[in-house]
This record gives sequence, C-alpha cells and structure tokens, in this order.
Amino acid sequence: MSAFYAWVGGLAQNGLLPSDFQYPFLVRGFLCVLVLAPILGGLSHLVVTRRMAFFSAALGQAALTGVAIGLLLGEPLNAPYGGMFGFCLITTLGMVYVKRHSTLPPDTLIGVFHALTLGLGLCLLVLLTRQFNVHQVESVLFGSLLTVTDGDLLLLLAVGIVVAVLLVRQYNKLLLDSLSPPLASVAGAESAFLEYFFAILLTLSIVVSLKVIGALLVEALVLVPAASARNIARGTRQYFVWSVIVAFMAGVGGLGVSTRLLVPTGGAVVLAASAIFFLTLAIGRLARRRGSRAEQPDAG
Amino acid sequence: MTADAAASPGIRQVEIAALSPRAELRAVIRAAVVLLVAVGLYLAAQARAARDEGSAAGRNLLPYQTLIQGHTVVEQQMFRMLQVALLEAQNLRSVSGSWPAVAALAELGIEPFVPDPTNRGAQYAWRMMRNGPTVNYLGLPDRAAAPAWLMILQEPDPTMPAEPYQNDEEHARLLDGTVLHVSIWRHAGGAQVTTAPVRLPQAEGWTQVFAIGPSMSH
Repeated sequence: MSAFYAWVGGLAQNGLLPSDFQYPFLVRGFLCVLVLAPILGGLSHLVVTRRMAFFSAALGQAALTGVAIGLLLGEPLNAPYGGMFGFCLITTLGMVYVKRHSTLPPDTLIGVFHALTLGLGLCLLVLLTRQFNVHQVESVLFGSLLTVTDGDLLLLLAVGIVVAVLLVRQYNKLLLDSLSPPLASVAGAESAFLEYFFAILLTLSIVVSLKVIGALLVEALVLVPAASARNIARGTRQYFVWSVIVAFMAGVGGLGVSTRLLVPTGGAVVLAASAIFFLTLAIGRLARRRGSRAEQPDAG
Repeated sequence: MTADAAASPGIRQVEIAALSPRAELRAVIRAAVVLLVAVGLYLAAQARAARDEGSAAGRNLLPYQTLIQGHTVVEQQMFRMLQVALLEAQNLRSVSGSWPAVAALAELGIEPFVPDPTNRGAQYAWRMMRNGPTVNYLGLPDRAAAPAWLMILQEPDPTMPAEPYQNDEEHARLLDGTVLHVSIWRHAGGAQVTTAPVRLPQAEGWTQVFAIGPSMSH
C-alpha cells in the first residue's frame, strides 16, 4: 500500500489530484468512502422501509461497548475487532429475538437495549481510562480518519463484498418482506430468517464503518441517505440508486470539510448528508408542485 | 377463503407455519455460542501473536505514531538530541519565564540547534514559532529526501483546572509545577513542510515519534 500512496502523492504533487491527496490518511479516507457509500447507502433504504432507524442507533452504542470490552480483554487499541464484532452481533441476535417475541412495542424494547449498552459502555470506559489514553478512544465516538489503518480498509472492503453479495442474493425477498411480510411468506420467504439476516448485515456494516463515522453518528449515515432519496425517487430502483449517491456525496463532502476545518469526520459527513436531505426536500416539493400545476389545466 | 375458491384451479393453498419460539431460541443461542467461540479463538490467536512480537508498546500505536527503534541510526540520533533539547528548553523556560529562541539554544551548544560541520547528512535550519499556548521548534532539512523534525510544547490553558502530571513521553513538568504536553514529530517529506505553525500535525503528514510508546491514561 505504501507504493500506492506514494504514487497517489506523486499525482497530487503534479497537480493531477487535489493537493490533500499527498497524505496517505486522506487517500485511505477517500477509499473508505468509496466502499462505505454503496454499503450504507444500499442498506439505508431498507433500514427506512423496515423502520429500523432506532435499531441502528442502538447498534452504534453497542459498538462503543464492544470496543471497551475488546480493549479490556487485551486487544490492541487500534484494532479491537473481536470485542466489537462479537458484542455487536450477540446484541443484535438478542434484540431481534426479544423484539419478535415480546408484546412491548419495538421502539420500547430497542430503547431498553440502547440504555443497557450505553450504561455498560460508560462503566467500562471508566475502567478503560485507567489503562488507556482516553483521547485515543474518543475517535471511536466521533470518527477520525487519522486512526484508520490499511488493515481497517481491507476489512471494510472484505465486509463490503460479503454484504453486497448476500444483499443481492436476498434483495427481492427482503424488499417484499419489508413491504408485506404475509405476502413474502406466501412467496416462500422466511420472515424470521430475513429479519435476523438483515439485522446481521446491518451490524457488520455499522461496525466496519465506526472508525470513519463514529459510534454516535453512524446511525445518521444509515438513515439520512434513504430519507433524502425518498424525497426525489419515483420507484424502488431510483430509491436505491439515490441512497447510494447521497451517501457518496455526503462522504466525500464531509471528508473535504473535515480535512479543511479539522473537525471530526463523522460530524462533517452527517452535516453534509443533512444538507443534502434538505436540498432534496426542497427539490421534491418543487417537482410535486410543478406536477400538480401541469395537471390543473386538464382538470379545468 | 371459501371451499369453492380453494378447489378451483389457479389458486394455490400455502401453509405458513411460524417458527416455534423455542426452536428460534435454540437457534439464536447456538449462533451466540458459535460467535463466542470464534471471538475466543481470535483473541487467543491475537494474544499469541503479541507474545511472539515481544513488545506491547507497538500494538497501541495509532497510524500516525511510530517507535524510533524502527528508524535509521541517523534519525535515532536526531530523536535523542531532541529529547535532550526538550529538557534544556524546559529548564530555560523555568528560569527565564519564556521559551528560549533557537539562537539562544545554539549559543549554549545545545544540539541539534548547533550546526555540525562534520555531519555529512542533512543540515537543519531551526526556527521557533508560537501559536497561543503552543510552541513549535521546527527543523527543515537542506535536502529534499531528508525528513523534517518538530518539537511541540503546549502550555496549559489558564482557565482550566491544573492537569495531574504523568511520568511519560507526552508530559513534562516545569520547576514551578506547570504541566506541559510535549511531543516530537517527524515528516518524511522535509521539502514539503511549510514554515507556518503546525495546528494538527497528524493531519498535516507528521508522524509522532516515541521511544517506548504512547502515554497511558490522561
């Protein structure tokens, strides 16, 4: 990878790329965005359709607790993957099971898990600060390109490929199940399996994106692209495509702002995504108004 | 559905049997156990790899941090000189109340601020810059291939409570008890470094250099 960074740096110095690309961390960040955008953007519209926004927030907090557990178990500061993946996946299984078999509303149950993981994470963080530099752990909360390694990038790519392949295979059943579980069951889709399946895909995607976006804000990048796409899309395909485009634009825009203004990457990306949301909201309203005006002369 | 409708061709009856909660719980528990075993194996493999490496310090480095032991002899010498220069600058600051200029350090013969004509490697031009509570001692090489070096000394914010002193590479204490944040940085592309004060070195291509490793809790 060093040779690749040196080559990109050479292009930047020759003016063929923006000058910021001479820094390896920025090249890594851009590559992360290229991989994250289709993953999170692609999952985003299903998250909104299946009403799992709050679920994503709880997963973000669980990831922070997973990091704390991993560090306490002796994992290196820069790569607590065992704790992150292990705790988040087990929490996901628990949340989905309880949600499926409890009489309480789903948001209440997820709120309970949200509070549980947050409380556990805070207690463990206090233990951690006696052993580690807490500023280094802060990058997990808010995201920091400076802490992303080549190993993280490769892991992101590997998980991205796995998620993409599995999602493509089950997409039609997932979409049908999102819109009408009884119809999906009749069509041969197992609703229970799909619920666990999608939750696990979402968990994997959120965990690998933590270092870039941060535990507190990753939920926003899962939610806002789809919300923005919903304002302007006219069908499912457009919904998916616009979600990915918005996620990519938010990632690149946030990266640029974060580098220039030296603010946390996660915050900058979410701000960019939110700006795009309001823009698409306005565009969608204008388009609908024009459409209704075009119909009025016919009605007269 | 009426009996007639069920009997007519083109209508297919499908039995949808819900998964029993007990069966589902068994499946979830099995999956959780598999996950725990996989994580346990991964952690054991990691612990073994760390033991083979022999050093715990390198495992906690962030991408913009490095240990000097992995660098050339020339760079190790420069790092040692900067560690000593750091101490000398702090002593002068304690006595005089202000950070010494590069010329003052050179007059006292403190390396690396004193030019060494016998040195066949890169010669450095040093300058001191102040940006609020942060002091930079920046050394730019006369050769494009040589790295630039930077010492950062950050005084405490007078409006904040005093920070407890930690005996590590990122903290220093003046004679009057003032606790400073200190660090030594290296930039591989010496020719690319500008003479402006460095705000966030890790975002400007600098790598923080340690002798032992990052500090523990702050």
